[in-house]
Amino acid sequence: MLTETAAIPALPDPLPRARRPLHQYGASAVGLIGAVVMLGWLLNLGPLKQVVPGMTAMTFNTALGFLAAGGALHCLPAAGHAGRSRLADSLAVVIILIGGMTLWEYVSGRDLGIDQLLVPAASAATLTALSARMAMASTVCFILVGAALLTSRPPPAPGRWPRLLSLVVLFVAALALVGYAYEISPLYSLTPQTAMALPTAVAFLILGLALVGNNLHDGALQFLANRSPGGASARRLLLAITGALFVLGWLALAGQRAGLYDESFGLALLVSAIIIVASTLVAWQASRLHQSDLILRAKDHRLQLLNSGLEQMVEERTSKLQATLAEVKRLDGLLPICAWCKRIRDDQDYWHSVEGYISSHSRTRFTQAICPRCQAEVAREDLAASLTAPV
Amino acid sequence: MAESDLLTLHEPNLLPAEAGPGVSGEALRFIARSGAALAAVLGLSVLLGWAFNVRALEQVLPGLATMKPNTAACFLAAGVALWLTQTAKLERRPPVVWLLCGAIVTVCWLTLTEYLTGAGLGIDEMLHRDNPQLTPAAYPGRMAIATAACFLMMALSLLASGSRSTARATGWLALPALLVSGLAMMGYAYGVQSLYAIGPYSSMALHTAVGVHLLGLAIVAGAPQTGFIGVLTSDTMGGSVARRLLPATTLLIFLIGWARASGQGAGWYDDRFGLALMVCLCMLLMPVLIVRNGTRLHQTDMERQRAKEKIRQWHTTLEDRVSERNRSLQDAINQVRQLDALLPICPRCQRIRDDGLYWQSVEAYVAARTDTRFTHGMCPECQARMMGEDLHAH
Repeated sequence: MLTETAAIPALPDPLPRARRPLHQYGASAVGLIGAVVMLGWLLNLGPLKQVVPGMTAMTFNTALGFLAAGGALHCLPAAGHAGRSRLADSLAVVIILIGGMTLWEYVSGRDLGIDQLLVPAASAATLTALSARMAMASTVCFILVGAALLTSRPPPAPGRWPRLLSLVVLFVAALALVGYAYEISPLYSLTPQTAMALPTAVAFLILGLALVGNNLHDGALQFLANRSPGGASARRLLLAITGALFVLGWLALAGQRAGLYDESFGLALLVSAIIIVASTLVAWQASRLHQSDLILRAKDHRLQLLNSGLEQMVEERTSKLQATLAEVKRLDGLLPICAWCKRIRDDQDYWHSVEGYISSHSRTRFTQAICPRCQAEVAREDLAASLTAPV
Repeated sequence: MAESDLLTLHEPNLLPAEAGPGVSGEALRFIARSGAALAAVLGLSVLLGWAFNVRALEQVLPGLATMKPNTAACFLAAGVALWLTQTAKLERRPPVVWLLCGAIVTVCWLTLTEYLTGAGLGIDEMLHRDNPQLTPAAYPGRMAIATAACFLMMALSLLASGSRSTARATGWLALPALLVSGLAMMGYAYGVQSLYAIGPYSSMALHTAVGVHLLGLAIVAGAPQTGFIGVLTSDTMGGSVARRLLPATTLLIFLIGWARASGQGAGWYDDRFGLALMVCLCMLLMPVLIVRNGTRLHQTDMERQRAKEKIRQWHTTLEDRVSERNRSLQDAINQVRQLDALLPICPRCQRIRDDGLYWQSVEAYVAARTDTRFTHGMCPECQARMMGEDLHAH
């Protein structure tokens, strides 16, 4: 009767986390970008420094910062480790130093000589003093990244600063990317001579995502890392809507440039396109959630039906048990029995015959039979009686 | 064993087995009825406005497009039809609803035919003569193309909501009307004429756009809840997400667009920067909405998991209890069964024969099968007899 319950599979842990730490991949990607660009500078290979000729190149120090950031992110202690990684901390300090010193150069107007310190002379020949310096936005981003790395703690410990700092990095990178996509230069270069290179913006985007992902183990955004329906749908919506916004904006701009419509119509078109796309995405997710909710409800309901069946069973068994126990109970305890005539005394001091007592206290019934010994005795007595009887 | 074990445990609250209503039927009926009333009042007042020449009713603000008498009549008819569907039961709608919807479909279809063929059928000014001074148009008194199309779809949608087999189409038929009227409203808000006017023909009036949008929503609210409307009104996670996120995102994007348009109009930035600003604002604010919504969803999820965990624990408890009861019951039954027989007893020596043809004393037999133990004493009779025998022997 317990076979039907065995059919229920063991439920998974409540709200398991996503399978793999995605931020590790991000760390590798950022480290790789940094290493490749550094290699480009060391070997003086144009395509590695600047993806497309004529575009702003990622500076050597920026590449160094990314390499360090990738390494530090890799070395951050995993969940459950109490201690801090010394390597990660020192790399974070290096990143802050790179960003901070360059920012100091911008603020004070002095050249500390660090911009071309590590660049080989052959490579550096093409550079002016300023174009070798990383963009001001990049310096700020590096300081934020370093601070985020220094303040992040392994999973159970709370920490909202790293998350906040990395969100800022993410936003600055997204702005630069939007600037490149829509050709609005102020969004990627604050100062005229130095601009955040496109690869730098991409790398900061990945780095920001990786840092946010690394710090999703507590606080308000924790559910984003969960495999629960809520977490999954929020993740999907975030990615889909942000991507859709980027693409739609670019399409609207392209259409306007091609002269398909004027500015105000373009605006209205974009707004309605965003509303339609966002609503469709939300409706899609809502339908999915609805379906999964229905399935969950059906499952829970089955379990509950099973439970109520079990409850009935327990009740039934209990009442049966009580009935049976009532029968058994009546024949226990210490019974005074007469050693000679085998009569049993009850509580009222009355002596019952053994058959009467037992049959009234259990389901046993007696039949009269004579045991061989008594039979023999009776036969002997009869014989004796017949022998002694006067003829 | 304690029999009260079962009573000390509390059964967890029951979770619903199926989707329930997230928005109560009364609320939906209220929305549908107020939409219907609003449309009917709007239509009636515009018709009165035409009859008594009240400009504010014909064209909300001077210079804007007028709501044509035919459109006003359509509003009145649709409002009355929707109201009637809300008072009648499904599948038992009064024939008047069919009549009204049929009239709307006919008028709109004829108007669209007029536009397509260019032939005047004489229906444009059948209720009241148009005033060409208000808004000069190619065809005086003719409903705008968009308005005619919207009413055509909405009348069909209203008809589709009348039976279960076609109810699924209600939302899809109302959707184009909602979109077109939404675009027209956006056109008025952003000052983009091309969104509510097509060439030299009549434009969709401001109050027509608002009225069509509200009427479309009311038709959807009053329809049977199948398909996505069912999701939207259910109490599942999907329903609450859709109800919260859909209006919020739409409003947010609309406002961001409006802010961009007004900033651009004030000359704060050029178009390209405005575009980037808008996309960035959306990228910044939409995630906030999604995350807020996700947080609430997560809390629901956690509650659900906790409830489920309770049910699971209850299940294991019950299983344990059943097996425990079974064991005890088996023990008890075994005990009872051991004394559940027809026992041959010797009347002379009171010994009992067990199954193995072995005669044993009654004490040994009972003690081996129950918890009973015997103390040996002597009953008064035996004592008296014994004393008598002793005396006799003496």
